[in-house]
Amino acid sequence: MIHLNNIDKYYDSKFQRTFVLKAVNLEVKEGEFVSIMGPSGSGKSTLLNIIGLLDAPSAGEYSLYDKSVLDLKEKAKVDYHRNFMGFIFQAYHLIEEMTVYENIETPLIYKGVKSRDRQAMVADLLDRFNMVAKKDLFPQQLSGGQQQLVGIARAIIGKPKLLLADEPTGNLQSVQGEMIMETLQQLNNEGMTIIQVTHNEKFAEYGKRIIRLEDGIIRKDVASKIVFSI
Amino acid sequence: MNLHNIKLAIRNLRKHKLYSVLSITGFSVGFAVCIFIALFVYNELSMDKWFPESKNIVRVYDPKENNCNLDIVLNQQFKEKYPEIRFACPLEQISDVEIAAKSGMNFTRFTGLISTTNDFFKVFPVKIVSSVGSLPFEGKEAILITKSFAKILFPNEDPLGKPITVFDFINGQVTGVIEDFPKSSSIQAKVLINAENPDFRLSQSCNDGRCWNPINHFLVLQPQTEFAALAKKMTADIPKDHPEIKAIALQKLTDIYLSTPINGNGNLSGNLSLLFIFLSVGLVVLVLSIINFLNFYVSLQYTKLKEIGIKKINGASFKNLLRFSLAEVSVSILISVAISLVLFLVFLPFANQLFQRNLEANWLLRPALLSALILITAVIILINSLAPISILSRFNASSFLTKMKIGGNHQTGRRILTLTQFAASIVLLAVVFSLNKQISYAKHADLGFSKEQLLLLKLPIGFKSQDAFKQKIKELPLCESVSLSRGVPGSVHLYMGDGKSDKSITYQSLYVDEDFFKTMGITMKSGRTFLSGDMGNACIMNEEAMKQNEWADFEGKRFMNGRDGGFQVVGITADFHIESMHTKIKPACLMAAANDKHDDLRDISIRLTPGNLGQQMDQLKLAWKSFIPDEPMNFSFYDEQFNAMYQKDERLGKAIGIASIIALVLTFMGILGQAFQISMNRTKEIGIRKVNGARVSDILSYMNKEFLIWVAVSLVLAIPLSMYLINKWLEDFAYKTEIGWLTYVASGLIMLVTVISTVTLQSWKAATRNPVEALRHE
Repeated sequence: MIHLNNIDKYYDSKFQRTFVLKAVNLEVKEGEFVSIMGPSGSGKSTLLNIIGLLDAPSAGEYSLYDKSVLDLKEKAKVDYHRNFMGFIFQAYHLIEEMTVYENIETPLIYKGVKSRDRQAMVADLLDRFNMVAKKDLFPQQLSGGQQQLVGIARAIIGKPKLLLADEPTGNLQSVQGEMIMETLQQLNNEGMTIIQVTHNEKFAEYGKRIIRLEDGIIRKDVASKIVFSI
Repeated sequence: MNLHNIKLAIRNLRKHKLYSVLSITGFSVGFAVCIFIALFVYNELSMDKWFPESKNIVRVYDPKENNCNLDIVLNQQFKEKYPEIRFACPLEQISDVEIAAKSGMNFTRFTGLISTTNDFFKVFPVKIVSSVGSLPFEGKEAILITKSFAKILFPNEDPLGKPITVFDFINGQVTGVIEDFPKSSSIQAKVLINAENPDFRLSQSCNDGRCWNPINHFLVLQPQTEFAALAKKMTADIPKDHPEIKAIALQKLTDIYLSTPINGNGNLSGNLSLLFIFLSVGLVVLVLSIINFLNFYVSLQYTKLKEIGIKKINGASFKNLLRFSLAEVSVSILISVAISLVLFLVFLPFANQLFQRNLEANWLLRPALLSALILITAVIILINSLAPISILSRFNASSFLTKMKIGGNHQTGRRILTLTQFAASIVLLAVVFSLNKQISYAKHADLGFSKEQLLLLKLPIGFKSQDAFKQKIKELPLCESVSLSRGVPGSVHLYMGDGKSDKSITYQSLYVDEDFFKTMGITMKSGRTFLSGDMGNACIMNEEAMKQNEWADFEGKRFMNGRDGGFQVVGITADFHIESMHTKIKPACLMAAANDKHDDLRDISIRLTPGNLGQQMDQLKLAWKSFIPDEPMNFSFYDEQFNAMYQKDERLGKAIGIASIIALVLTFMGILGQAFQISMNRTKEIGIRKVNGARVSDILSYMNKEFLIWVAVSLVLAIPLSMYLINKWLEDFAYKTEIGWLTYVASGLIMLVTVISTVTLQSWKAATRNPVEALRHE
């Protein structure tokens, strides 16, 4: 599904070129659950942003389903964001002025889903995450784990094929973190492709495959629990 | 723009209370000012368009002589000779003097007298309320009055058939009562007299032994008549029998109000340049309030970059974001417009006083104004909603989420907006200062005579006991000196030529008695004042007359005015002002009135001794009553009379003063918002600076520096523009004060103080904050 070929990302300053990603090759198949690990500044988030079309690589090829997505127009990108992928973030990034219900509903509005259908879809998800009673609360009134659940609900309400998670448990206590990871695992079991960036070895193990980045270079790419060197 | 967006917009407004209050109040005040000005302009532009036929009405004038007072007999010719003319009426309107009206014991003064014929009612659709006969003017002595005037002169009486005396010499009977003229008519009168009666015609001209009654002629033309063709035809006919007329042209009734008045014009007249000044002030205020709103709204976007990023990641397209911003702006603007309508209703009476107009709130519902209002609101909403594009297009989604504190300090667009705001405020301030300086100069300038403690009594026409009255006043203790004259500084209506064939000079002419110079305090340049032997055969001229005559010496010169055998010039006065500072001093001639011709001297000037003014007035009134029992004393003070000449200028100054205060407040609010945003965006920077040893004063001066540069640049931009505007206005004055550089320095200083105090106020909080706290928040 995802095919990255020789991706570079660098910044030019006056005298030198600083590489954030260098010659990254990566193939992700449908239904995979990939964890990207690495120390701070290793380029994990940049890689995720490139995959999520939030950032463009400086060099290399990137295709989704064998279609290059490098020079997409703004409109086509919006289409991918609406229909193909969902995001969750360490800081949840919920809109503070919106209630739980409205936050979850937002992507559907942009997709142009009719009000009645929206209601049904949001109600479904609220039910699934046991948050029906909290639907009229604002994000600040929820715990971190609940906020992240809302974030997940918002990310998946448009039924994306790909879910990108940037340290989804980074701000959470371990119990809540586990709950989030279990939710992600469950989504993966239902067929959703997931790529997460994480610091946490234990949570990385939820993935079926672990990629280790160091200084912008992929050092290891292993199936989880079965460790082998490239 | 759907319900969802509107709901969120209102939530946003409530969340950012300070921003919302500042931007909404700012815009409402600015918009309210614009509504007032729009209404004023609408009023001026809709003059004389109150009835459908008005577009077919023209006034006849002579373009070569620039005169619209033509022989009354032409009326017959207009009616009979030209098929293009449906109706014609002669009309003379006097609207600039107070006229006395009497009926039995009732007395009043009014403005607005028209001399015309029954044809008037064919041309102008003024309704007749009641009349004696079938026609409103019934008989030679017929006089018509308006409904409201009837209530004043004939309270609780039926005015029909009652005798009435106007102007002391027009005696007639009321034969009809008509509706009041609509306010939007430049033809205004309370009393109409029948011009069929030669005694009821108000003017006479003579030339080469032929005399005629000049009067305005209004015609109703057939629709689609070509003015030029008809005027050409008339130019071919009319001058043959009327050598004083050189050519004929037609002026549309609807054009009269705003054009420069033609000689002989009696219609009320507006002022086109005033209209432009108000219009540009309105535009400036509107632009300022839009800029203010824009500044706040764009600032707000910077605090919401994260939200925009999240929306984009969740699939919001550019269009979705724009739609939201449209909803947000619409909510704020519509609230503002509602508030400004309330402000408008509250301040309408005040504005009417300021403009000296009768603006009405319900005009806003008329299609022209309503559609303009809706259109302007829509355009403003659109401009403001498009503004965030500059931000949206600048960043991609991931930078929205990561670099949330970008921008805010170095944006050319907003810099230009701020500069415009500063410059406009400085221009308005400089204009206000200059206006006030000039008005105060005009009021306090040396007039060439002493206007303080000087009182003017105006005697009625037909009064004959001038000398006895003067003697009576002279004996009163209040009187330091008293003089009789025909014409006084402030009101001279007599102009005489000197009959020289090569280079004729027209003099403002006054007949005065021997006490005139002493009473007025006019200083002599050379020669002497009148002695008793001079009466009836000597005159004194002013310096300007001497200059224009190119006389080296007045000895042996005579003023040959064609009457009374000429006057020997016996002295020259220093120049003194007869008119306001708007006009240049003209040649003036003060003739010694013959002792047997004091009947014409109806102006009594009295120099008062210092004392209790109230008691003095009571004594004077008593003296007046003993001579003129049936009319109240008609008096005025010279200083008030001269100050009143600048009422229009003062009103303009007041209006622009208010506009500039509003502009300053708007600018102040704009700076407040920006300083607020900058100090918010730079919390971290300020923290780092403080950790590295910066003092509070360093930070304050650092924050102020940029704004100060803007003030300096805007001052440079504002000076030439304000100089142009001020000089444009000063062209109206023949005598003017110097607008020095101090005016601009003062305007710049006020701006500077405003800016420094606002920025300091706002950055104080950020600068005194504990840096550790500030850094932790990052």
